[in-house]
Amino acid sequence: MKFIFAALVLLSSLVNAQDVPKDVSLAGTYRAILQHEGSPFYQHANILLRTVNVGGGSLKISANVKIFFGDANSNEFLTYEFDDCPMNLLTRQISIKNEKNNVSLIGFLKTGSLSGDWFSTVVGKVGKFVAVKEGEVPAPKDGILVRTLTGAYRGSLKNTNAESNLPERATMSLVSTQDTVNGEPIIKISGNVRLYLGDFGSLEFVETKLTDIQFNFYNRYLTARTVDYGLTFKGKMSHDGIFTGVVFADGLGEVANADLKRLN
Amino acid sequence: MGKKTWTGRGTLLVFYSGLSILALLLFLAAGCGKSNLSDRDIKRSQLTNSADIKRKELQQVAGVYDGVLKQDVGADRTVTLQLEVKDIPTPVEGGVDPVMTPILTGYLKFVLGSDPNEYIGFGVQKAEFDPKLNKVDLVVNHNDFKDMIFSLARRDSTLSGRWTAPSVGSSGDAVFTKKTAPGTPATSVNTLSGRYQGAVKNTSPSSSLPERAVITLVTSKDPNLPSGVKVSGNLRLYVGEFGSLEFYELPFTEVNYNFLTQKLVAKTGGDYRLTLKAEVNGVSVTGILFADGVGEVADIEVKKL
Repeated sequence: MKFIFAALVLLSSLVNAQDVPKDVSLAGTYRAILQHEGSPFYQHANILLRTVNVGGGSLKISANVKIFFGDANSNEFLTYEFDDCPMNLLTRQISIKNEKNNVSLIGFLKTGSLSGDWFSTVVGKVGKFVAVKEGEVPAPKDGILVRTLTGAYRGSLKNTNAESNLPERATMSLVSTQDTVNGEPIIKISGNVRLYLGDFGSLEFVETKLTDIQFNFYNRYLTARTVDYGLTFKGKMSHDGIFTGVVFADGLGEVANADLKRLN
Repeated sequence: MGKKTWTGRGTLLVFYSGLSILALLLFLAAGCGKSNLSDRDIKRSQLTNSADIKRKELQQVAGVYDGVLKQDVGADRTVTLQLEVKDIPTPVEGGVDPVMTPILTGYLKFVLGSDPNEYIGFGVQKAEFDPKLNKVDLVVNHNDFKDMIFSLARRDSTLSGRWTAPSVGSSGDAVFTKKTAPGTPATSVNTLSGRYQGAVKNTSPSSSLPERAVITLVTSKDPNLPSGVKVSGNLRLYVGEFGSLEFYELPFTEVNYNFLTQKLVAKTGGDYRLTLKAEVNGVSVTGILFADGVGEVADIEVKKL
């Protein structure tokens, strides 16, 4: 008896679930996973589609793509605006690209889902992406989330110039913020460098602010100058948070190699 | 006195002589008339008499009928049949003046829309009525659709039987009911004009057409067309919900509708160049969508709103 009752309840819930109207409109926010081809890295993104019936039987689709570094709620993201995204009605292939943005997506827009390839003007095809309007796309198995730049990095400096004798222990902290003062949000990065004369954690360090920090989120190239001592860090920040680069000193040129790893 | 008597007798004699001459003339006239009624006049008289009889017979079937043409495959069609008796001069051999012979003539009208002026008319080319068997045989003709042949039995004010359209390979039952009073022409209950809403089911891996469609068809009178009726419309494909503004509207640039077979072929213009091949039965449109370059891409079934 209990079994029959439970079955009826289950059936009723299924019927009710079918009664719930499914949102079949194109417009809306699609939560996406962007994969980096040839590597285990992936990123979260939100793709917002807007539709306007402009008359004459045509539908205009515009999009806003927000690519996150870190988790899907991270405040470290890049935003791209696409005014017109043509879609082939027969194949449902949609082109989310324009000349002013260095990221583009070409995919197929089905009811409630969008999938295809994404590209960067820096590296060409980056990989595939999958987006859904309801629910979330599961993260790829064994995938590694592209981390935020924000964080504390610790590691070693190895002097390579006979005239330099930089401390061999260094930490670098980077903080990214969204700057929306001048219209479109841009990522602003600030930070500092500590050069430890003593052990990590000791108070024997020299700290200097970083200025003019440039970071390309696609080729992951980082350059940063210190306010004091005229040091410049140039190198690559890997997706999983390892900075490998060179330290330059104004007047001496290349003075050391830097190898810093992100602390959780 | 004697002279007076003589005068009276003379007058009487002249009177009687006149009467005799008149009688003789009348006799001659009558005799002469009878002998001059030639075979030609007799034949003409006979033809006139038989024409009168035939006219009375044909008057029995003349009139305006509301009819229904059933199809072996497809939906019923509502039609109007008008039969009228018309006298046409028929030449007779032997130099006889033409005799006015009654024939059945008229038209068969398929009304397509709510506007009674939107119709396709067939002229009655041949109509025979056999009063002994109470049978009516009709052949109606249209330039595009060729002949339709009716073999009907008359009973009271109803004509019923079969119809055949050899050019399109269609046939079915036909029933016509005579109108007792003049009224408005019959209007097809299931007119072609209207909005049809339904589903698109993609059948090709190369296609991903929106799954919701609305077809609008509009008929209008166009005397420049052979059929006299123009069909226009469009195909609206909803990427969003029905009723939303998320749709693509593809006007039909070319519509061919065979109202006898009820087959519709409509091409859209613009970027996609879709072709709809469908059967229309007044309440639904069921068919296939083709795309130039891909071929068959989807099934479509829409029902009249």
